[in-house]
Parts: sequence; C-alpha cells; structure tokens
Amino acid sequence: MSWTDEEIDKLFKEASEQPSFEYKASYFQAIEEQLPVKRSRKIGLWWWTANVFLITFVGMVFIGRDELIALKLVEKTGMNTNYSFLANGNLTTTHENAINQETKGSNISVSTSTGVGSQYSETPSYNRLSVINEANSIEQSKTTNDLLNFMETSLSEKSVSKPIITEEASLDFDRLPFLDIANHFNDSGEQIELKNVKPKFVKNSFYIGINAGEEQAWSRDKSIDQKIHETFGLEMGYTMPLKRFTLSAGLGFQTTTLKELKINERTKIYDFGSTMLDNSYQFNSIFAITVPVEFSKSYGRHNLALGITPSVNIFTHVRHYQEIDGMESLNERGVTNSALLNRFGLSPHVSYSLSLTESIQVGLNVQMQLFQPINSQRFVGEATKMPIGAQLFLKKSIKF
Amino acid sequence: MKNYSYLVIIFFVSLSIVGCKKDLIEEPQADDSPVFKIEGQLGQESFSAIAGDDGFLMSTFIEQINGVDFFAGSISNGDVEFEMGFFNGNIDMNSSSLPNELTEDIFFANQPVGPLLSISKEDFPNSSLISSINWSLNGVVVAQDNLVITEPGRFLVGAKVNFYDGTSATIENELIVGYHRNVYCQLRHFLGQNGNLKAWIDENTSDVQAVKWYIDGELVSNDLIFNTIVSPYGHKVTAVIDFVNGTHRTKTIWVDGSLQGKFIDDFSSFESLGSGIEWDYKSKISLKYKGQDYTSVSVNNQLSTFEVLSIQYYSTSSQGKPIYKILANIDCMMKNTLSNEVLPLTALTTFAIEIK
Repeated sequence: MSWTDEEIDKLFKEASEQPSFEYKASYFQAIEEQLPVKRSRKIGLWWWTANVFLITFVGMVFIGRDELIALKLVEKTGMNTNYSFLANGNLTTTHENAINQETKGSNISVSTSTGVGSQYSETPSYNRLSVINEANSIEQSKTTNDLLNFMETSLSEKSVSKPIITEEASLDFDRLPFLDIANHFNDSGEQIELKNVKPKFVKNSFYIGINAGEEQAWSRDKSIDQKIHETFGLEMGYTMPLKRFTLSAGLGFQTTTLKELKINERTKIYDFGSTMLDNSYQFNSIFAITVPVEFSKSYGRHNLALGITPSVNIFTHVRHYQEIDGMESLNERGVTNSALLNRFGLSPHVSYSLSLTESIQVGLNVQMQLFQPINSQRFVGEATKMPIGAQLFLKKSIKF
Repeated sequence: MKNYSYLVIIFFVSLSIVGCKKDLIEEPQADDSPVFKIEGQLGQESFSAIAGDDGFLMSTFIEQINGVDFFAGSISNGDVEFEMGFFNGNIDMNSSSLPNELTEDIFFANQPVGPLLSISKEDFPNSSLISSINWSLNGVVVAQDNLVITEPGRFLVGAKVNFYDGTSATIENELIVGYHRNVYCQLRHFLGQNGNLKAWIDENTSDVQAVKWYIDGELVSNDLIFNTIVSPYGHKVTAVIDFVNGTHRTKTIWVDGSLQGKFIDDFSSFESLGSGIEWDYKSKISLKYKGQDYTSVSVNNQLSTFEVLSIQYYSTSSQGKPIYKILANIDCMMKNTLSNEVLPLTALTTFAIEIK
C-alpha cells in the first residue's frame, strides 16, 4: 500500500502545524564561542610612557648625527670649515676627525685662535685643532646651507690675514654669559667660535639642584578634590662624561604634599552601650631620599636625559583627628613613619634641560612612579597606579 | 669653601629630619562585638537586645528590697527591658560572696503565698502583764499585738509594749525573714533579787567572737557573759555581737530592775520560726516586652533552671563597686503581671551585675 499525495500532504500539514523547537541556552553559548571575537584593546598608560621613553632614547642616539651629516655635506663641497658645535666635546671630536680625513693633502693653515676673547688664546694647551680652507671659503659659502652659509660668510678677509686655529674653551673658562652664543655671530668679523661653549655638566663636576613640580594624586575618589600633589626636592651629585653621553648620579631629598591623602576610620566600640570612634589621619606630606641616576646627551645648549630615580620614603607628616561620639577628643600633628606607604620607589624619567650658563641648567623632568605609592587599603579612594609627575629643575655645577 | 657649606647644611638638615621622633599610626580598631546582649524566646516570640544597638543600654544597680541588697542589671531601650538580678545571701555579713555562689546552681526566688513570720502578744513569756503591743517596721507602725511579715527581708522591728499597770517600754530588733544563711542567736538574761543582771548569747549558730554590752546606750562591758547590778527601773540592754565567721548581729532586750516582770525578751529570736522559704542568692527576672510586664517571682519556678556558664570581673562602677559579666542560660516561667498569663522564657544572655 502506497501513500497517496493527499495523505502525504495531510501528513506534512499536520506536522507543520505542530512545530516543536527545543530551545536550549547551551546551543547559543556554543555558537557564541565559535563566533570571531574582536577584543577591544585598552592602551594603558604604560604603553604611552614606554613610547615616550623609546622615542627619547632613539632621538638621543640619532639626532646628533644630523650635525655629522651637515659636516659631510660641507666636505663634499670641498669646503673647509672651522665651525664646531656647541657644548659638546664629543661631537667636536667627530667633526675634527671628519675634517681631518677629508682634507688630507689640502692646504692647511694652523694658527692660534683669537676667539671670542683674548683670554682664550692665552691657554692653548688644551686646544683641539679645526681646519680651515681659506681659499675656498667665499665661493663655497654660496652653495651650502644657511647655517654654513652664514658661518662661512663670517669668515671675513680678516681671517685671511689672521689665520685661525679654533679651540675649545680653556679650563680657565669659567662662566658662559647668558645667551652668550649671540656673541659668536657678531659683525666684528671675528672668527665664529662655538666650540668653546662647553657647560661644566659635560665635564667631571659636582652639582647641586632644586626642583619643584607636580605629580598625580596617589589616590582617586569622588570625595577627593585635589588631583595632583606638589613636589619639591633638593639634590646634589656628580656628573662625568661617558663616551657620547654624560652620566650623573646624585643624592636628593624630596617632599611631596599629600593634602587629600587621608584615612577615615570609624569604629563602633561596644560596652554598656556603644561608642562611635572616628579616627582621621590627614597626610600632609611625605619625605623621601632619592638617588637620581641619568644618562644625558647634549645638543648645543640643549640636553636630553634618560634616568631612573630610586627613592626611600623616610617619614610622613600627619594630622591625627579623633572624635568620640561626635566630640573632638584628639587633634594633633606630628611625623610618623611611612609604613602605610610603599617604602621604596622607582621612577624612570626623561628630562630636557637648557644650559643658561656654563654652570647652570634649567629643565623639565617627567617621571613615572613604577611602584604604587600607597600600600594600604586604609586610605580613602583607589590607589593610583604608576602616577606621573613633572618637575622644573635648576642645577648648578660646583667645583671644590 | 662656599660649596662645602652647602654640603654641610644639607647633611645636617637631612640628619635632623631623618632622626626626629616618629609616632606610629595606630592599627585600625575593628568593630567590637557586642559585650552585653540577650537572645531569647518568650512563648512563641523571639526577642533580642544588644547593648549598644537600637538604643539598648546595659545598666547595673544595687537595689535594696526589704533591706536586702538586690544585685541587678538591665538591658533596656525604653520599649523593651530585660532586668535580671540576684538577692544577696548571708545578709548579716558586710560583703557579699555572690560571685562564688553564682558558680553553683542558681534558683529562682518565688514570692511566698502565705505569711513568712507572725508574732503575737501571746508569744511573749510575760504576756499576762502586757496589755498591747504596737509593732513598727522600719520606724513605721504597722500593727498592734500581732505582727505579720509576708515578704523576705531584713526588718527593723520596733515593739512598744504596753503593760497593764500603764507603763510601757520600747525596744527595736533586727529581724531577718526569708533568709537563712545568716547567723541565728538569742539574747537571754537573768535578773536576781539584788538587781544582779546576767546576760549572755544563747543558741548561736556560729561561735561568738566578741560582745559589746550597752545599758541604756552606754557601753558597759566587753565580756562574753555580762554580769552587772542594775537599779530598780527599766533598762534597755543591747549586745553587739561579733561572730567568728565575720557576721554581726545586734540584740536588744528590756530588763525590769523592779523585778515586776515587765521585761521584753529578745523577740528577734522568733525569726527562727519563720517559713522555710529561702531567698539567699536567688534570682529574679523581669521583662517588659510589647507593653506587657512579666516577672519570674510570682510564678512557680522550682523546676526552672538558671545556669551560669561563666562569671568574670568586668569593670568598676561609678560608685566603685565591682561589675561582673555573667554568661547565663535561662529557662524559666514568666507571669504577665496584668493578665496572669504564664509563658515560658528561654534565653542566653551575657549580662552585667554590680556587686558590693
């Protein structure tokens, strides 16, 4: 017996009128797991910070090479030049080497420079030679870049009659006047002598410094108005040239104001009744010893530095306020240890500084505290991870 | 040289800052757990009270009930009040040994149904000469001829004995009723023909250590047995007795120097005839709950239990009295003072009582 078309139609009709889908949430979960997941990337603060450090480092390595390229450009044109770069002995050496290599067999005249001041010529013992091709000076000046053009133009005819040996600043050179560089581009027709501007920070020397700045607040909470902490520091240390860089290391003392860093604790003390004990610790400031270490590189009067500053918190200044059932029972200020804060800190930093004089630098320092400063859940708010800070600093090299 | 001075200044500033005294921040105090509380069930209803929460306060006090110390405490917030206390025992002693007694089983004090003590004129050996007696309790005249005491206590009973010849004499004696751990004794006397008076302490349940004899308020002897010659008038003889167990009792009699028999014996000795009810170190509980007052005294709690799980010194009251913390398990009956409804009470409590 076979099915008739009517019977088959009826069978399908009945089946279609009684759908029975079984829903199970696990089916959808299984499908969901198979779907491609597009995860949103949260770029953390550390990522930006790492980039800043990386760019700074790369810049320190490669920026100086522009000057070398400029030198090579001069040499390719066949021109001898006597310019040197500001405030960097290493660069000057490179310059000299390049010139010396390229000017073999040339007509070289060597003489003691009269420089900016006559006193320079009195101490030729620490001279480094730079080479000047007098014959080609005027013609070649038209084909070089603006800087070289200007420098070459400044080689007046006096220079022909007055052979020049440029030299770096002597040991007796004690202070560079503020914006002294302008004096090198005067109209007197004297030899432009930039190489003698060599701050003491690139020599072996001691220094002292002060800094002041701001840092992200160490805790965040809706009730906290102050978003930043203020910092102030003193430091002293020693700098020494290290190949193309300058290494400095010091010992410092830093205070950080912590006006909105506080602990509010309420305790219910049972007895025959109960007493509400409110303790409030308002952290006013924290004092730390720092050991800043940095590598810096100078570009004329400009300096870039990368460094790291370990620190040890010594103590904090705290106001302790206590109420018992709403009545003030204690209100005192004093110093306490920093047990509730991380005892140790580690802050990598980048800094830029400008040499105002040979012995004075001002600059800006940006650092990030790697260790979370707050070490206790007792503080109001959420602890800030790796707070970033910036300080303006002033350094002065000193000699003994 | 100038630069060296920088170093020196920095060094000393740093040294002074680093070396200064630093106080430590106190560790946070965790919320204490409640000290005094009660959790219980009255009938079918559960209740709880925690001193320090919901307005509940724990207080302690020593109340005098019929001249006996009642050491008690109360947890109350005005609406709910749980009061618990213990009557003193050995009430003729200066200090209480309640903390020691609480280490043993504690029973509930039950209000006696009938009179605890009754003294009538006829109970006196010379009642034939007495026309009437005016009785007073604690200075208040309460009865004539027959004195009835219905509550346990320590009473100062005064008897003004009126004799038929129109004379009268008045003495006062301390009667302890409903307590039995105190010392019992009787002051007896003998008056001879020549006015020789002999008085002594008899039927004492503790050895006598010392006696001070007073005649008409004047100290006349320290002998254990008092011998003297009195004038032919009435005299009030008082013995202040120290017993070796440290208790003290005072007994007073009236002697008739005229030898006409108008004396008044030591009627305090009748206290031994009182009911067998004993309230020494018994407990009493009161509860105010949902506007109703309940008490454990007026209901039979002979089978109820009061288990003291621990007792320890807690603090000192503003009056300088020691306060003890008691952890106790209670299972008793409570009677509504208004409706006389009796409900079972079970409770576990940490309570404070003040003891002197």
